[in-house]
Amino acid sequence: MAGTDELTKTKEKQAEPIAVQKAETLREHLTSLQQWNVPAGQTLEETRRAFGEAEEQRSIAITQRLRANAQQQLPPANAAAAAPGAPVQQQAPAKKSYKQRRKEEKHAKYARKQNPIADSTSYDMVESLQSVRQLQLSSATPEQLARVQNAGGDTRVARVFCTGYRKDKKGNPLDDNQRRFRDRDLDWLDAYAAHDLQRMTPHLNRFVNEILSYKVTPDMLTAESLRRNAAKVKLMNDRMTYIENLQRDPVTAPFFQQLDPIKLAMLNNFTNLMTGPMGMALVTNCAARGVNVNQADYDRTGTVTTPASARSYQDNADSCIAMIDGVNQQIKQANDAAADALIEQQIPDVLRMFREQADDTRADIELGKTERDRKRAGAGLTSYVTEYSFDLVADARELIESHTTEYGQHREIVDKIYEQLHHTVDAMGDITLLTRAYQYVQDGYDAFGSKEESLLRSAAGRKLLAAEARLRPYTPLLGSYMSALKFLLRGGSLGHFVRDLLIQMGMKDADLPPAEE
Amino acid sequence: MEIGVLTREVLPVFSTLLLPEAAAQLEADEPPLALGLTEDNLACGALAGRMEGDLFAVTSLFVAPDYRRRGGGTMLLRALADVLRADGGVFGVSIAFNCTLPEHETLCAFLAARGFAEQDDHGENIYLTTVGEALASPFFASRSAGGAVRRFSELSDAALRAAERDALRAGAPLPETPLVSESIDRELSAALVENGGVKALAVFDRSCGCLTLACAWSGTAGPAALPQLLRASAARLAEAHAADEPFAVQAVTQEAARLVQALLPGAKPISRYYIASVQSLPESEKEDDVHGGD
Repeated sequence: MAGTDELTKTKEKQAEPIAVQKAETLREHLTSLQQWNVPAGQTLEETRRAFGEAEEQRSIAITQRLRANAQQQLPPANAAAAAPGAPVQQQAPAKKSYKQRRKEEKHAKYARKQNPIADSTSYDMVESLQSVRQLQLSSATPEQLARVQNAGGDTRVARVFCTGYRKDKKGNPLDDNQRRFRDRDLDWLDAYAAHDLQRMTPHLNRFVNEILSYKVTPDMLTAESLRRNAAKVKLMNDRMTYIENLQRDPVTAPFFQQLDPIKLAMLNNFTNLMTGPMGMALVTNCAARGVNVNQADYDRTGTVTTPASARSYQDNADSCIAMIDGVNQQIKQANDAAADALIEQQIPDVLRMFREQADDTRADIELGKTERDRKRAGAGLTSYVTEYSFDLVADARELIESHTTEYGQHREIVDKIYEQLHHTVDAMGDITLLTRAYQYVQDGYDAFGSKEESLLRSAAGRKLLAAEARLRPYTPLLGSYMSALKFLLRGGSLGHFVRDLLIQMGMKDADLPPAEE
Repeated sequence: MEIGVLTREVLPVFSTLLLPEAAAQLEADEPPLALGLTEDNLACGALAGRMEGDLFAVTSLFVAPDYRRRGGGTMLLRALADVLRADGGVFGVSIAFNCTLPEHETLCAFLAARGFAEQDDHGENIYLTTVGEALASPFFASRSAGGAVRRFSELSDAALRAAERDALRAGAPLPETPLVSESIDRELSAALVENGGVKALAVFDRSCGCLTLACAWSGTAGPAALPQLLRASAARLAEAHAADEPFAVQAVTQEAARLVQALLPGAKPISRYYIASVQSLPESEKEDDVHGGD
């Protein structure tokens, strides 16, 4: 219940002469309410942004408060025990036949002679590593490598990026595919030895695209997988290592400097973060089985010869494998951050374009060529404008101007609501502008395009979602302001929310009818 | 059944029970308030939401099918209401969703029984029908297109951007999605072009995942242009789309709503927006409907 003094004041307010009677005077008054009170040292844009952010911050602060209250009132949801883990999938070994077992025993016996802790797995690893090295040497022959060395090139780089080819009995490529591999390798070796960047460019593009297509998972680094794929993993790791050498090489560096920035960022994130743990997992897992990956042979240095030293290497390998999921996550985060930055770089220009379009719209409306525009002119909107923003302010203004008697009765509160409504619409314009800009940038990328396009499109989509989330609270708020104005000026029923809003804005509980459900 | 507060730590268990956006906010430690429903250490329901303006907007509410009709949904709402009542600074709860599945109908009944009132949108809604039903309307009995009607696919991006700018200036209720966006169906969307300028538009959009007539604007071409455009689109709709494909029409003004209701009497409005005051939500003391419809 309101006190007697307050009731008297309300009655006085209702009885006081209507100060604003002429529509023209009222329009001037409403126009004055549209003005932003810009504090010294602040621009209009900053003031508008601060107004909008204050509303968003209020929503965030209340939600945080509610969450804190909930945590005091309720226990934490207790379902932690049911959380599914993410077990590393390992390929189950196939059942072995008697013949296969005998073969494995034979291989294990041979392997043990080379290194006391080696077994049939070690044998297969060495076979795999040697076969790929031999294949590469089919293209990167000692003569070719000597040519590279004489030209000041890095023979490891030259060899690692060769595919190699399979030969027939006469030493020629086995088929057309193998011939293509040979020709491609020879072209690469020639171009590299000649320091010819133009000829190297298609090869460099191929290497970059290949590395970007790599997907490193924990299960491919387990001993069971390396038994079959050690050479493939080693080749991937070598290429990831030596692409960095190519980036540093003064001859090939310009290629990388001119590479699509997102592609370069993805390449660097992947190689910087993954090469180490992946290489370490490969080397230690093979070492735990008496295999020296770099030599493509059994470890003959005496480093790993006892079960204890093998266990130590295995522990290292296990901890490296356990890191892989986390590293993939870090790469994703780094790629997202790079994409975010590239999207943000484009935004100022797009904002400028949309602002210019909005300025045209505003200018057209202010010219008042049509009846609709005359109604909407003078809305005093300073930010990015849409038809909706103009209509909303014009509707509110028209409502006030067509109910001058009721306005006189509630002038103080109507002024306050109109001012809030106007400033909210104006502040909303900045966020609407952002959503349009992010949408525009997102639409520039093909959803079914390359990995890089997809990454950039996702980044723009994330930013669009965030901007849209900021926009969401405004609609119900503006609806409440309009409903409050309609109630005060036209009368009618009063909902709970509008009633509470009016109380929040200074009306007395006792002056309002009960809310209708 | 028990209610608890969801934190990031237990999100892996509950994430399937939350809409992706709510789960992502919780994952990012943004500020949704999220509650979980459990039984025998098994997650079986969740509610999430946050303040939007002056209302607490429920952004996700779900109870697993096997655990429904046992009061779990009411428990979630009751726990939320307790938190809001204790706070005292929030006076309403809103929930918005599209009603496209039978379980959404159940949700409507559930909300109505627990103090929520559906907000009247005066017909400004999304209307859902099928391509077959739409084409069966007498309005589309004739599907001939006039010579000046052009598909968007026949117009350049620059022409579409110019058309968008002109249409916005002329007050066209264009969708938020730009006309050059890939979610716009350029084969179905059509424009009436005269002297190089776009005079009227019919825009078909797929941004919400469903084929939607997002805007039909007769512009400066006069009301007769609209039937001409829509019938041209209908001809292509009949050629390239299955009769049972869902088809939505968005009515953004009351005039458009009346038009949709007249032309497509079988189309159902699907957007729902419910609001309840905190006071009208279920209270803890009441053991009202433990076996209610949730």
